[in-house]
Amino acid sequence: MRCLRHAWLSTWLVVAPRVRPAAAQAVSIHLFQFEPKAIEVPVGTLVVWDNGDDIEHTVTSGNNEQTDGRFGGTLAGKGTRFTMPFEEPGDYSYFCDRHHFMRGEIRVTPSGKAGN
Amino acid sequence: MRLSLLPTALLVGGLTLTAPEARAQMSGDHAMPAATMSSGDLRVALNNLLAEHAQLGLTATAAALGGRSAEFKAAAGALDANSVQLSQAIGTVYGDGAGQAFLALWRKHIGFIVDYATGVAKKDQKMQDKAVNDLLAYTKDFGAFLSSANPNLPTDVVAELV
Repeated sequence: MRCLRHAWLSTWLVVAPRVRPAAAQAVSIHLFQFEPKAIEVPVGTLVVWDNGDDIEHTVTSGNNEQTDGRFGGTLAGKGTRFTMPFEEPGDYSYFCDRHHFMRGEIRVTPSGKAGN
Repeated sequence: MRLSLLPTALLVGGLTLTAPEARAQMSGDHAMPAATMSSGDLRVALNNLLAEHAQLGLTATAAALGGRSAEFKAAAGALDANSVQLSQAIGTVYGDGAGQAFLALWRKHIGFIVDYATGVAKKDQKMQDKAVNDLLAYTKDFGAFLSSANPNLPTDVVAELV
């Protein structure tokens, strides 16, 4: 029985696809602010926004109150969440389309080069 | 002016509930220079600032309604300086970011009241209606801000009071 278990484990190790679990980075929304305001993450990171305010906010990509359409989501109220995987290196700006003074930045670095 | 006065009491109440020994480094007439401020001193400073806010708001809207543009400009400038001081007080308790967020929200309601006064002066009903709708939406935002600052202040209750 023990040998069978080992055989199963060996088989699984050989044939199982190498799935790299996505790292996650949390951004909280509290007191009408994105916290942290700026993050740096490696490519493949799942960024998770959690709304702690009892009001609707959005995560809208763009700058100067102008959306660029790269990503976006609505967080309807307290306890709601929006997630977005970042698969391409680059700089991403975003803001809340209901409260334009709320702004955030994401720097996505090539794998293994994130500073945060 | 109900809109301006009710948040005054709520704001002061909310802050003192959550900041028993706030460190305040405010600047201006009502400030204590770069010193540790007790909750009582902070409350007095906020009361003064918010009383000044109400008075300047009345002066600015009266000037706008009377078409006295120089007086309006002066009152609006003083009102904004007062708003900045208020936001600094908020920042000493909840952090600079919260202070900046408060300032942005607070300035919005002042703009909506000015819009309403301008609409009345111009007898522009559409402008008045828009200002009222903007102010109603603002009450929800301001309620949510205060609720986030202090969970003892439910958003809906604050919005209804505003």
